[in-house]
Amino acid sequence: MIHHCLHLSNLTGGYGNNKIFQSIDLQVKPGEIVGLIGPNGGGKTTLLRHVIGYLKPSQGKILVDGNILESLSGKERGRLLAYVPQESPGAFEYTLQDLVSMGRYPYEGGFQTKRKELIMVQGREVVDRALSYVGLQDLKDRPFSQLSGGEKHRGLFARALAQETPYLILDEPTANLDLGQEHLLFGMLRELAREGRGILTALHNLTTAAEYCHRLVLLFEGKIATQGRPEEVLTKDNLAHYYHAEVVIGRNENTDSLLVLHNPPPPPPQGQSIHLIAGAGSGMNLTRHLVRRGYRVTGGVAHAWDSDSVLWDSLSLEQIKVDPFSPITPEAFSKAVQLVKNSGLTILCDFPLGLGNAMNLDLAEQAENLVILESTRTRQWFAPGLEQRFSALMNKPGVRVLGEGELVGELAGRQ
Amino acid sequence: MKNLQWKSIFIYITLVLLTLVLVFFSLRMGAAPLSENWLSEIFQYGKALVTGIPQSNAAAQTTWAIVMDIRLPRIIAALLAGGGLALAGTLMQGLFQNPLAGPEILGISSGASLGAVVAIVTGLAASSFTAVPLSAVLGALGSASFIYLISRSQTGTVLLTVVLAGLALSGFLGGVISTFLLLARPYEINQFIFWTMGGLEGRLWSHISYPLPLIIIGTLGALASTRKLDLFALGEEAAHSSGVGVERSKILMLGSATLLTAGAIAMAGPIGFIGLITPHFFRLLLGPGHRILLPAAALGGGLFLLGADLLGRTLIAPFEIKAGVITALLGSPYFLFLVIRRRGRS
Repeated sequence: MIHHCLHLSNLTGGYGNNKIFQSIDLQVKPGEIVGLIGPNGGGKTTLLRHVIGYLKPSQGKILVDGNILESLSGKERGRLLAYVPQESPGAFEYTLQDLVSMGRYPYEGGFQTKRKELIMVQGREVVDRALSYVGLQDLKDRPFSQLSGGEKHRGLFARALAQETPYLILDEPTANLDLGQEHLLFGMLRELAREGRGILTALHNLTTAAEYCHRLVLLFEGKIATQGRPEEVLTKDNLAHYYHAEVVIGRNENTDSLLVLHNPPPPPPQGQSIHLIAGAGSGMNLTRHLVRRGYRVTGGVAHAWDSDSVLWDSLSLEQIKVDPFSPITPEAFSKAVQLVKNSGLTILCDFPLGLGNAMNLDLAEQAENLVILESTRTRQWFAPGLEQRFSALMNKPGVRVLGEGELVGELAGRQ
Repeated sequence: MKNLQWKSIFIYITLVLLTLVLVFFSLRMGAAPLSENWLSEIFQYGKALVTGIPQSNAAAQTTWAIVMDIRLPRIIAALLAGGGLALAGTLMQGLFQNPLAGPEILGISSGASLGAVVAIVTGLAASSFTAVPLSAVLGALGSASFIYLISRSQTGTVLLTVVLAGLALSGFLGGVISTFLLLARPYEINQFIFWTMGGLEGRLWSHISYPLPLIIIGTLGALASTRKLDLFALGEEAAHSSGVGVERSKILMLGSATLLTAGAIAMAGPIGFIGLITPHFFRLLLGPGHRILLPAAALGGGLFLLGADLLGRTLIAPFEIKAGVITALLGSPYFLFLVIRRRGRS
């Protein structure tokens, strides 16, 4: 019985003596989309070049439905494996139809006989079907070089389909495609897999990989670092380790597939400490500006779940917070005073003051170097006496009132 | 599809008819005048030769000698050399995916020139008619093999290395040739320069017989490459994945182009521009598909060289302008036109 699968067994290869990958064991079964992921230079393209037999492995072997790849003739190989390269060829004015017909090469014979004629007729039907499947039947007489990047790629894909192979190998099929085309292509791959083809594709976009691949293989420095279902491979730790990238892994709520989003770490703080007294999101922009410029930012006292507090948490900044809608506790206040004392600069942002947070005014009074952000709207007071205290603070010697832009400019200039 | 089929049939028929017309005029016209009834004289004489009846008609014998022993071999040589160069050019342009490629890339021309200069300087040329062409063939094959060996790597033949090695070798051989010429006597230098112009004057059956196998093998190789050449347009990896044996095809194409060019140079000297222009011309007419393009280029190249030769020997008869001069004078402006048009497009 033939074991139906594309099997890379203990495969080692590269260019000459330069080993690019080692001891790769990998199976692609009919009906399965396997995504080859990994950072650049991990050996994905080189591995694919071996999988299609273009380069010879220095060790191990590739079995296609039980046949050793190297022992197959070119045409036999062309009936088992089809390949979609990353780059489009550009030369000469072949029409799209000519190009797709080249996929029939493994079925073409040298001399015309009755049987051959039949194969040719069937071949033309296959080409037409492939063209209309990828939606390019209307462009079939157009020179290939005049097609758009996405059309070219679909044309090359149609050429691979015209080979009518049980296995498809693709190298970065979405590199030149826009979002819509990308999902169109992967939708087709899904259909082809459902019809029983085995698909092996190298991929950059991890979200696409998670959405469409049944299995992912992470290639790192020429070895399989990990493989499995997308949620097993695409973990925060794996990505930090192999891609050196901080990511947020979320869920696409419509498809329940993973979303991998880049989450760049802020530059390490090295400048002076700045304490922000903020609330109701009044300090968010300033926080981002200051973190980006490398200031050591602290915050508080804020109420938990307040938008400023949420931002400070997500940036792992030190902050003092109290429960929502509760007054500032003496304990929190004294901690905040410590932060203010430790900062070279304290900034009182523009937020409504009331009973719950009136102590932030006391906090501001403790600062040696205080900047009050200029208000862009009418200030609001929700407790008696606060307005007077605020005016007094504004007029205190040494206290400056600056607009946000002015302040950011000054801090940027100081660096 | 159907349209192209009819178009290509039409163009093939036109090419064959034009060739026949040119062959007729090439037989008829020339420095030595023929009598009005030359065709019947030839026919009679030929019939007599076949049946073995002795001939005493001296006029018919002269006509036979002029037409069959002088003009016909020259015509055959022109068709074979022109066709061979055009085939080689088509092969190289398809293989290198560069419409400006030609057999010169393999350093064939400079190798052949070195062979020729060696034959001339050593005096071999004086002792035998076929010494220069034979030596040129050896030079061509030698330089092409050298470049092929250099370009082999563990992963296969690297086409960029072929181009660069060809350039380097051509430069080096140019220096060697100049050194030979510095040491040569003036009449030898003249003989060499005359040879480099390329031409068909004085070609006899003996000049054709030994390069003929090269041309035949090369042509068979070219015809076996047609579909593979199409797939090379996809890039080597994709061609491989569609079932083409890339490395074997490269050897087949480079080898065929080398044999064709060497054979052509042996018959007609280094004739420029046919290999470059003929494929272009027919690609414009018939599209890039090599199954149709290749035979058309072969017919067209032969026609081009035959026409150039006919022009060259009738324009200012009894003097001759060498065919290589005519092809260069016609070919270079056309090449320039292509370059300018290309610039305009991109």
